[in-house]
Amino acid sequence: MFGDLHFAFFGTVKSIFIEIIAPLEYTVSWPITSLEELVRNMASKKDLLDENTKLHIQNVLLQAKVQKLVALEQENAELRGLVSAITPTKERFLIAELLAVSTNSVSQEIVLDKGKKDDVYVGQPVLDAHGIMGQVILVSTNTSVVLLVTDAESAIPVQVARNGVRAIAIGAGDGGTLELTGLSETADVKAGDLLVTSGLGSRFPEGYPLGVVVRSERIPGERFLSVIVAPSAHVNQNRQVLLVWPHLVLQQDAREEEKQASLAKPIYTISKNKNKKKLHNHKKINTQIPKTLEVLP
Amino acid sequence: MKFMRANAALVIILSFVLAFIFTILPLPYVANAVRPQWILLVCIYWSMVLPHRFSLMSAWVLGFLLDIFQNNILGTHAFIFTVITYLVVKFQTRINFFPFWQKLSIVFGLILLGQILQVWLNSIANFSSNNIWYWLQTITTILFWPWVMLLLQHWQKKFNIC
Repeated sequence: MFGDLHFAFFGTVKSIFIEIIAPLEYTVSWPITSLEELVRNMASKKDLLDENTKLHIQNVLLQAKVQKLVALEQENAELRGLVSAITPTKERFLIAELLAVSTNSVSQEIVLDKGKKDDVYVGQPVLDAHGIMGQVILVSTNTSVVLLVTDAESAIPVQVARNGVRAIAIGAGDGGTLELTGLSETADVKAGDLLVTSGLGSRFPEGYPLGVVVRSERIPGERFLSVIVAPSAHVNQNRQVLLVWPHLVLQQDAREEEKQASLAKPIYTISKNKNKKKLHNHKKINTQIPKTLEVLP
Repeated sequence: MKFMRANAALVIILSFVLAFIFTILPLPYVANAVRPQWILLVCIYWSMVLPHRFSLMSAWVLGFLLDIFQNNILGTHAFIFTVITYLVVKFQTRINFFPFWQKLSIVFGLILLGQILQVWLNSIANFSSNNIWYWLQTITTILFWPWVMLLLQHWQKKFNIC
């Protein structure tokens, strides 16, 4: 019965069955989405014009910020000495809608309406507008299952934005918080610190916000610091999420790829090599999905 | 005769499809802890009144489907449903003729057994959760038992399933 825990074969079994029952999930979410559509269609013209103006202004402001971001990225790459990394890299995003949530009270997972036919892969990071939401753990043709960051099984390498202290953020399993592990008692982590992904492990792209430290206390008798983190992403409230393909390089120069691959060498041990997929006209650098992750802080 | 059998299968399948729809309906996150276990209730009812038609195999398949929906470890709910259906089918001759309140208490015991088994199996697989509101699910489920029983009894009489 616990073959599922020990063998990866059952992942494919689950994918096959999910394909069969996916129609039911679509039918269940259909009334809700159609009701939302109906309400939207009945919005008054004035409301729509106001919303349009507001979004337009927001768009312009964000584009202005992005311009500065591109310049900062280039300057950052120069300062780090990775001259070859100034070739433009683009992250591909895809918006997915929530189809179902896990009704289990012990696990926090969501089901999205994008699957293998949209090039979703196992291990892909999922974001929302405010931060990291989780990673994809199961892919079927039309749907995929995402493990949220607040689930007890989820572990993400993070660093404190203020001073670069690295740790691993593990979900607390209660649906709303995470804990940091691997911090010694003397680590400098305070309440209010912003945590961003550190990029170690090559699963999550570097620099995305994960959460804010709520409480950081030294419990006498414990050898590690006890830190509670609140996630920035609205993990329990979103209907739309972003799937991101990090590390996509648009230039197809093989030599440049080699250089980047050797410079961005991962610092972990891979125990299983899966899924080296080639997309249509992009080339992924790191598609090795490690089974065990040992991150050296 | 054959028509009646097909009719019966259709009604049972329809009742389970409805139960599944209610189980996977997206509700606010806090509603997960108090969501009644519709599929378990329907399962108990049908194995109580039709033990020769709906028995352990069907219960196993339903539990398996529920595992797929909830992305559990494959087999947790399959096992739980099988155990509960076995108990119902074994004592079916007596339970079916109990008065309403005795049936209710027996079903409550079965639901509680299901919850305990779920916690046990999840903790073997290291998915432990210290959520005290998890046990509220037993009470919510048993609250809906009379309605499920009445509705399915009505369907059973209407479509003459035996």
